[in-house]
Formats: sequence, structure tokens, C-alpha cells
Amino acid sequence: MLDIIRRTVTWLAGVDYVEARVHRASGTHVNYVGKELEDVGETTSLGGCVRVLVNGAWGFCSFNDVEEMPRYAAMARDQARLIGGGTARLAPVPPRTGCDRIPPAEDPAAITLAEKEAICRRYNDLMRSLSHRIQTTSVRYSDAAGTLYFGNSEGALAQQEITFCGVSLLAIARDGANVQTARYSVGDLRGFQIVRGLEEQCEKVVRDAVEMLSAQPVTAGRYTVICDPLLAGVFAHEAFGHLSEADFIYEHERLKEIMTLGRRFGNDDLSIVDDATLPNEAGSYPFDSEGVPAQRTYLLREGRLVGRLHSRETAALMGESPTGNARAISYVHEPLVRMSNTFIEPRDVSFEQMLAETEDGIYAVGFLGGQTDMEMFSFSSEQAWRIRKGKLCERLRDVILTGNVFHTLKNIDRIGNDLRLYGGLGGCGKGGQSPLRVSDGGPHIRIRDVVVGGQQP
Amino acid sequence: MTVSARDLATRLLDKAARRADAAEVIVQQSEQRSVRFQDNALKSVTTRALRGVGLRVIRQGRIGFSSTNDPAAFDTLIEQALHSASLGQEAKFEFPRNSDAPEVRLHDPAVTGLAMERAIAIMRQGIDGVLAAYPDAHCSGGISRSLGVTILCNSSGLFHEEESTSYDMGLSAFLVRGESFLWIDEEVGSCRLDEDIARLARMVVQKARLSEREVHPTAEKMPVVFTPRALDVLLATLEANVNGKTVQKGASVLAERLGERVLDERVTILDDPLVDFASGSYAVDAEGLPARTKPLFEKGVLRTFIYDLQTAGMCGVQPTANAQRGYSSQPHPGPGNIRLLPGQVPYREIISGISRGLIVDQLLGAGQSNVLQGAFAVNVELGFLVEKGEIVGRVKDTMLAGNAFDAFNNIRAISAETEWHGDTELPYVCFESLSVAGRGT
Repeated sequence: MLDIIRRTVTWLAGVDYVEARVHRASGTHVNYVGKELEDVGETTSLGGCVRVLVNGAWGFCSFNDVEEMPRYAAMARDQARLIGGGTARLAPVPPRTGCDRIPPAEDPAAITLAEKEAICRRYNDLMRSLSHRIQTTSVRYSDAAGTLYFGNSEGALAQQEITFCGVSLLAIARDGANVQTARYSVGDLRGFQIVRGLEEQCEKVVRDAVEMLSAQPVTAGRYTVICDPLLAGVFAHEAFGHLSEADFIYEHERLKEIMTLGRRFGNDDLSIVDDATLPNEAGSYPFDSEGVPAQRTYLLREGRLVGRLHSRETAALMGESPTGNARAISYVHEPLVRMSNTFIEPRDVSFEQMLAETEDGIYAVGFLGGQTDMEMFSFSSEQAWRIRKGKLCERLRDVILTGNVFHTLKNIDRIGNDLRLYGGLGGCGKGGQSPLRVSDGGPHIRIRDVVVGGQQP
Repeated sequence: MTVSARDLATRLLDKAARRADAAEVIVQQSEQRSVRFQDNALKSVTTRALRGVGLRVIRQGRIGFSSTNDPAAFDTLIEQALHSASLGQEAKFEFPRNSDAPEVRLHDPAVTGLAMERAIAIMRQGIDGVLAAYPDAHCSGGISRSLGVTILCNSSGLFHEEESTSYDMGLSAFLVRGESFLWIDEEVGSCRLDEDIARLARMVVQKARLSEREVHPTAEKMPVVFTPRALDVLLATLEANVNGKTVQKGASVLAERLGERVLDERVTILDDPLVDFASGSYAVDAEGLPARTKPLFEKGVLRTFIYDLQTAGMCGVQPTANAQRGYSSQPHPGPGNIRLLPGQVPYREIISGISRGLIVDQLLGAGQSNVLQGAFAVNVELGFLVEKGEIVGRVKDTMLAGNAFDAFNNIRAISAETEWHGDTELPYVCFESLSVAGRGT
């Protein structure tokens, strides 16, 4: 593969820059829904792409027929020429060479499909047996071993091998028209061992779903909300991380003003970091889809904006340094500026102390879904409790937190000491590319004055 | 390319059928070309030439599946499918034979004839149209056009080859006012060429004008008009509950209610895969059954669930030709085009009859509530406050919450006009009273 990449990127003339990628992947999956094994098996994929820069404009081709790479490279060049010029240029980086591998402790490829199926079946049977209230369950397992081959006209020629694996557990409890969902998901680059021994999590998922049946719908209003580490991570990712992706702001003068480095966004103890170098986390990688090494980037430090995430192009255009955040989910797509492992740094407040200091509020745990348009966000917690006089009281349901990103960041007034990162089988979506493996996390955090949607009082 | 895809499919089927009791091959091949603008400038021109193969087998009564797009892996593909069948689900169906397919037009030669130079000119015209009204707007969007070939064949003798085009054109504007963001995006998508970007530009400008003043509702209940594109959020609940898969798993809240009136009697919703050039149309479904149009809800009465072969077999009912799939996955039930039939009242008249209410057009955070149960709670990304029959401004920091079933049983009016958005044709629907929560006082 590296050979055809080298031949292509050295052969193509009349361009300012050319890069080629080939992705080869194979993986297995097991998918239980209810009592049925819906899907079990193994798939393979292979494809490539070429991206060409001519006079500041990009042409891009992706294809499955990798042997035809030179022909597609010429097509990409012709497409770039069609644009007739643009502003794109690339910040310099040393050409990446060599072979990187993030080895899993227990390699999923060494486990038989039958054993993977048996583990999923055991979890599924366990969840189904625990309560007659459980309407349906699902256990999804997947692993993927991928090799990325990369080369460009600056002399880069490199490859990296990454193995992802994970499982998600889901239980749906039902009482008449009242249907409640609870889930658990784990997925990262550590290896197959993370899939083993999840019986306790199965029990917890069932217990949570059943208990949610008797939860009260939340009353709409403005609340002090304590977010658990998972939801805090979602907030760091959705509500701030996306704003830090430089492709969103680099050609927009007004946004550049809003996102001026040094500007205060939060209190002194709020720091948000993106770090693709963390060992074996879901969003980790040796180098990105432009051959730039992964790194740790502070976005917020002590409440002030100190950095942002870059591709080589956005770094050049904003006069900043590349951060190794140009990622494509596969050979089909061009790289976009994306996050990796994004989290709020921990401080010294324990959860117990934070709770005790909260006279009246909501404790929101886990994440069902959410969206942001950069300014506004909206996400729902999987579980929630009412807090009164510093104690957890009745369970609540239908808790959806919404608001303005800038106001809400400033309203974070307590940051816990219990950082956790969450990967899982899902991922991040942007520009039609989803899911991208990422992790996010944080400690418990407390936010004042959050709009919670729900029934009117 | 078509010839080789056909050869590939039949050769793989022959080989696989010798090893399994029954086999089915799907080959999907497409060439997509697109131009993409970002921040008012042409950013990239792209080609995607992709092909993939899925193989489903039945051996000893069990289903196996595998897929690849690596030509070197075709032999392994058969081994992987058979291995999958050794663990797989019991098959509750047989692969269908050839049958007469209904006529539906999915191919427009003008789409593949569109030169990229022309696509660039169309987009420039649209962006210029927005910039003429709002010079500080940042417009993005693009045009993509593709030609796809799907070949489906099985060991019962079915062979179906379908060539279809698809065309998507999108134009969005992003405006910043103080620290207030305004996103407006408009798009069209179908199998047919549509060069009328001026219409999209006019809609963007019109919505930007209506957004110039910001207003803040308090926490109150009011009538809310969903535009055709916003209505998707509520229809998601109905679609999920009529999906045979949801029914088979016992998760549908409508499971026991076939033949009962569950929605307002003005609501008739069709699953219609036979609309010429609509993006959800098909002549035969992804398992080879001839498509047909059917009411899901007729005058509020639940009429049918939708099934693929396996799900229908498990439920002991007839399949409804609703199998959908990409080459890399097994089929699952899904609708073709969803059409909510129009009502009697002109849209203008609905608005002029509202003393205080909302119009919602773009909603943020859909699908995160309990969709099956009908709960929704969304942030209004783009919506307008109506007072005394007139739009008075854009609402900000506003949540909208309720239950889709309650809403569809509490309808004030359904508009006489409908709009196509991708695979839906929907009217404007005014719901009587929904919870709105804003920061206003």
C-alpha cells in the first residue's frame, strides 16, 4: 500500500501539494436485540483517497479501487484546477515516517466470534432475567482493527494500526405508555478485557431503567444542576469543544473576535483540554489524517481561552501552530478539524461536598442525546434526581438541559475532584462524518441557573 | 462499470449458492461529484467512486451475513457469511422470486449531465443573492449529484438492477449579531435536477429579515405552528411506533391498537414509495418485493405496520415491501416517502388566526427524549413569535416541550399547502397548545 501511495504522490505533477491515504479495516460485531441475535459476523473494507492542492484550492477523490489511485489523483488535480484559485495553504510540519501501533492488551482478533457471541448472550440473558418490567434489551459488541497508510508530496510516508473494541448494554423498561431507557457503553483502544466482567453493569442498567418508571416528570424552570462526569464531558465537548474547532471560525472576523485568545469564558478554576496522546483512550491516535502528531491542547486554562484545535490549513491561515486535529472518519471523506479526548480538568471539591452545598437543584446523570448550534445547546440526561437541602431526593425524568453556551460556562461554580473519561460505541458527528471515535469527560460540576425543559408548573 | 457490477454479483451468487442452502447478493456502486462552498468561497470539488458487496446466506435454517469492498476479499466473504450463519438467527422467510415491479422514475439524465462548472455557477448565484441583502452573511453549502447502481439477486432466481440519480443542493447562511448566532439553512434533494437556487436564497433572506428583532417568550402555553421541515420531530414518534421491528420487540406503544383511532381524524399519513423522482422512492424494496403505497394512519386510524421479510416472518404477518439497507448491513424495515395529506386551511389564514403563538422551523435536540412514548423537548433554533396574526420577531433561548400523541390529538389546523423535503411531503400543522419555556419575564 505504501508503495502505490509513494508512486502516486511523487508522480503527480503540476500541483502544490498532494496527499494520499488508504484505510484497510476488518472487524466483527454481535448484536442482540430483545431475545434475538439480530446480527453476528465479520466484515472487511478497503479504500483510498487523494487530496490535491492547486493554487490554494482543493480537489478530492475517494475510491475503493485502490489500484487506480494514480488515475483518481489526476482527477483530483483537474477538479482543484477547476476552482481556479483559493486561499488554502498549509502550516509546515516535519514529514511523518515510520510505523506506529497502539497495541491492545487483549487483542479482539484473537478471540473467536463464538466467544464474543457467548459473552453478549450472557449479558443479554442476565438483563432479561432480572425484572419482568424489562420490555426489551440490547447488547451490541463491535471491534475494528484498522490500518491507515499515509503519504504526501513533502516526503511523509507512514502507517498506523489501531484496534478499537467495545460493548453497549441497553435496557428498556415499560409500564403501560411509560417507557424508560437506561444504558452503559464502554469502548476504547485498551483491548477485549474491557468487555469482560460487566455483570454488575448489566444489573445496574436494569435497576436504573425500572426505577425510572416511577420517576416524576421534571417541572420546567431554571435550576442549579450538578452534572455527573459523563454529562460534564458532554458539555465540554458539545458546548465548548465545537466552538474551539478552528475551521468554524478562521474565515469569520466576528467569530474571531468572540474567540480571541485570552478572553475570559469561565471562572478561574475552569480548564478544558483536548488530548489525543492519552494512552488507549477512545479518541487517541499517533498522528492525524494529515500526518501531524497528536498532542495535548489547552482550550480553556483558568477560565481564559488559550488555544484551539487546528488542521494544517486553519493553523496557517490563523498564524497559529497545527495541533494534529485534522481527522477523517474513513477514506471516503476529507479531514475536518475534530476533537479527540476532551475533558474538564479536575479540581478539589468532592461530589459529597458539592451536593451538601446545594440547597435546591437537580442531579443529572448520564446522557441520552443532544445537539448544539455553537451558541445554543440542548441535551438530555439519562437519569436525574431532585436535590433538596443538600440531599438526593426523588427521581426525575425527561430532564433536558438547554441554554446559551457563553452564559452557561460562566455559571459553572463548582468543579469536582473525580475526573473520568468516557469513550463507548457512539461518537461525534460533524459535516456528514459520523461516528468519529472520541472520548469526553470531566469531574462532577455544578452549574447555576440552567433552563430545564419539561412540563409547565 | 455496470457490466462488471452485474458480473460480480452473479459470480458471487453462484459460488455462494453452492455452499449455502440459499443466498442473496447486493452490490451497490455509485459515483458522486460535488462542489462545496464555505464562507462564501468555493472550497473543494470532490468525486467519490464507491462500491460494496453484501452477501446474505441461509444455511441449516440460519441467517449469515458479511460485506466487503475489497475485491481481494471476495472469497473470504463467503467464508465469513457461512461462519456468521453458524451462529446466526433462525430464518423466518425464503428469498423471493422475480415479480412485476411497479413503474417509478428514479433516473434523470440531466443530473449526471450537470457539469461541475455549471454547479459552481449555480451556487455562486445563490450566495450572491444572499450577500446582496446581507453583505456580512457567511454562506456555505454545495451541490452534489450522483449516479447509483444497485444489483440485487438471489438463489430463488430474483435479479433486479436499478439505476438511479440523486441531486442535493443546499444553501446556508450564518449571521452573528452581538453574541447571538443565526443559522438558516435551506436544501432540496431528489432524483431530479433542480437549478432554482434563487428560491433557496429568497427563503434564506426572508427568514433573516424575520429574525432581525429578537423576542423572548416567558413560560406559557400557546398554539404552535410546525413548518413542514420542523414536523419531522413529531413524525419520528409515529414512524418509530409503526416500524415492524419496534412492534416485534414489544416496544411499540401502538402494538395493540391496529384499527383504532389514535390521532385526530384529520390526519392521514401515507407511506408512498411510488412518487416519481422523490428521494425515498423505489420500485422494489431492498429484498426484491414490489413496492406499494399504503396508509399508515387513515383519518386518524392506525392501519398498518411496516415490515421486511424476517421481521414479518417473526411476527407471522405478510411483509409490506419495506426492507431498506446499505450493502454493509442486513435489511431493516423503513418507510419510503412519508406524506401527510393536506388540510383545508390556507397557511396565511392559520397565521392570521393566531392571537399569540409560535412558528417553529429549525429545532435543536430532537430525538433525545423518549421518542417511542412521544415525549419531545427541543430548543427552538429558528422560530418566530406571532402576535395578533403577525410575526413580531425571532424567539431566542426558548424550549418547546410536549408529547407527539397529545399534539396530534389536539390539532387546530392543517394547511392546504404541502412541501417536499427529501423523502417527506408535509403541510404546516398548527397544534393547539404546547409548553413554551423562554427567558422572558
